[in-house]
Amino acid sequence: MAGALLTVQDLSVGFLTEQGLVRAVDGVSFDLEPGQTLGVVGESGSGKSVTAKALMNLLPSYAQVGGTVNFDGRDVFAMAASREKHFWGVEMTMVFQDPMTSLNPVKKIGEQIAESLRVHLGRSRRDALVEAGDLLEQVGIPEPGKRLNQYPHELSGGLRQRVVIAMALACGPRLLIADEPTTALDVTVQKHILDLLDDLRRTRNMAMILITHDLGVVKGRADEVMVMYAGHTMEEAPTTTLFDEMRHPYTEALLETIPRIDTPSHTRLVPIPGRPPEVIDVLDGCPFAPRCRYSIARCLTDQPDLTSHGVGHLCACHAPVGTPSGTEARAANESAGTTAAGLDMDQFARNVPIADLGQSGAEG
Amino acid sequence: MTYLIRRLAFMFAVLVAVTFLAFSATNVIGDPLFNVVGFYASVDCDAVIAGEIKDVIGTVAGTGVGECERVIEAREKYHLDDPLPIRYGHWIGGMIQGDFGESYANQMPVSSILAERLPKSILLMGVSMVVALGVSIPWGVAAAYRANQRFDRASTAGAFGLLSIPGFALAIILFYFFVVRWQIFPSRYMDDNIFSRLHSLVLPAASLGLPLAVVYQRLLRTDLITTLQEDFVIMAKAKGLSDRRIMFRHVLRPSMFGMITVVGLNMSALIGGTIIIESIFSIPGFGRELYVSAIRDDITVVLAGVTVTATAFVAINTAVDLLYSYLDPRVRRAG
Repeated sequence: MAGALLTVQDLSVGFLTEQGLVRAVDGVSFDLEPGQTLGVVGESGSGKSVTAKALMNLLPSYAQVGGTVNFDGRDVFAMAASREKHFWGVEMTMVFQDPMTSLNPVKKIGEQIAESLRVHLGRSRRDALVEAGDLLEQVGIPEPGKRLNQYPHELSGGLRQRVVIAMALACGPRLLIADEPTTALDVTVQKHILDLLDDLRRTRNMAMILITHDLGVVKGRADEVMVMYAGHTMEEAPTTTLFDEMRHPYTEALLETIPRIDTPSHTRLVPIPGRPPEVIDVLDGCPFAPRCRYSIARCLTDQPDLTSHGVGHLCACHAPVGTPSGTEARAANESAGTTAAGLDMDQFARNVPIADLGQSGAEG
Repeated sequence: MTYLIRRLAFMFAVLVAVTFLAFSATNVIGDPLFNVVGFYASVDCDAVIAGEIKDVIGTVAGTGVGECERVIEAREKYHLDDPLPIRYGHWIGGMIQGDFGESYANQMPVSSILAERLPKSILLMGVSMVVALGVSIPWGVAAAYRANQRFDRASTAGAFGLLSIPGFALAIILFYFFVVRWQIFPSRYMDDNIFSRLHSLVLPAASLGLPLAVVYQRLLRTDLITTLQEDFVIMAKAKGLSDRRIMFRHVLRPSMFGMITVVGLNMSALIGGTIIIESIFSIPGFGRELYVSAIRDDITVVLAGVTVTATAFVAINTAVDLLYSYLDPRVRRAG
């Protein structure tokens, strides 16, 4: 794509362990336009954080990385190999999950923000501190002058995450990767931080990759959403399309785990039974098949490719939700009481007591 | 501020306890008078002077009166008739005014012995400390930077090799090669100028400092590896900082606690080490003086040594505690 700021093609990341090669990311591709937000959604272990770390050149040296990443015409992995000094932290930056641990406890906040400015932009100590104060103001921290001389432990979690964001913004990046930026924060603070990120993205015309396990977070904030599972892209679509016409059973299952205000009270949340697979060696079928209500025989032997389901809408499924084949597959599984992968369909019945659900989850 | 006052009060209490125990022990074990007047300490001198009995040695009444007068004199001079706490009071009172008493052995004021001997020992300990830290910090950083790789493994093996050689053995080995065979360093302490002093202290300081450096290196390496796993290190990498900058500006400082604690506690090892090392390398320092004085029961000198040592030890460990709050701002608030 011509106008894309970031083009990721067939990205794969493997870690060689004693049990075999763990394919944490397997053949992920996406484009990101300048100023746009991509939401990356999935459970823990889906490969979303590893994807972010691969882009940021933060993976350990023993990681096996494949594919190409292009940032505004520059080959990112080639820059990593030649130890490019002023790309990461300048053009592409990252905000992490836990603001309590991602700040250095023994350095003053001002120093930590000013450091990027001094190292990358060659600012003097004094100028860098003045700019750091401006940045703190931009991220909505009251009394920025006083905060510059404080240590991280003197600030609340929400303020600390704002400091982390100010650090990431210091050199005016064109792409900000936010990896679960609100997961470690109080619920009351989460929305403020997400709104702040959104405002900053708009005013600075900065692209953003917003990584989360919560589909609710990307709704209304991301332009596009990519749903990942076991290192694979399951579904990718413009955000409104994804919520209106989701095609992948995993996307549907993720959405059902979110409490909603518009459903009748006492509606049970439906957990996804089982847990993501250990991604060792190549899987024959679809990685989600063992947990899927729609699974058919083909899902166990034949890994589905991403196919188009409309403009910009890709989905990797043999029996997509809302299509005749999907509806048929689910009806067949329900009447049989079990799926092709042997999943007990009773688990999804709304009247199953929570205790039982917990048990089956633990067994899975 | 209250923290500082509390620390100083604590330090004072420890010093009183240590000096009182040392004073009591040296005065109770054996008769201090014996060290001054020898055999006459056990003669009933009051009776001899009164002419009631003969001197035990002499056969004629009235002999030994001169010696016995010296005994009475010594009792008064050293307050030996007073109860122990009062004698302690006299002693500590004099000490505070810089009067450490005089050596029983040669009647020299202890303060002048200290003035002559102590600077040499302090210089030795200082150089040893510089060797220990100057070796251990770069070594620990290099080992932790590529933990469990070739350099780290080789350095671990080397560290255990060095650890298993006691300091005095290392001193003798170094002495044999560098002094006897190759004659690079002098065999005795040369006190001409600062260069000759430092030159003659290279081997003693290496013997004292290297075994400590190994311990510090192990501690620092472990703490560095732990700190390197912290999220803020990943954050620093994501900021695009170089490995060197991350190591020295972000990781080193929060990783020094374990090492600095042991540096403080190891002061006693360092002071104890000077006694042996000064003897091996013929350095006329305070460690050697202490050793000789202890052998000939020269209590005032020994007590001065204990007091100086205890004061230095407590002062340095208090300084270490205060250093924590410099290294980690989170400690400041807790205080």
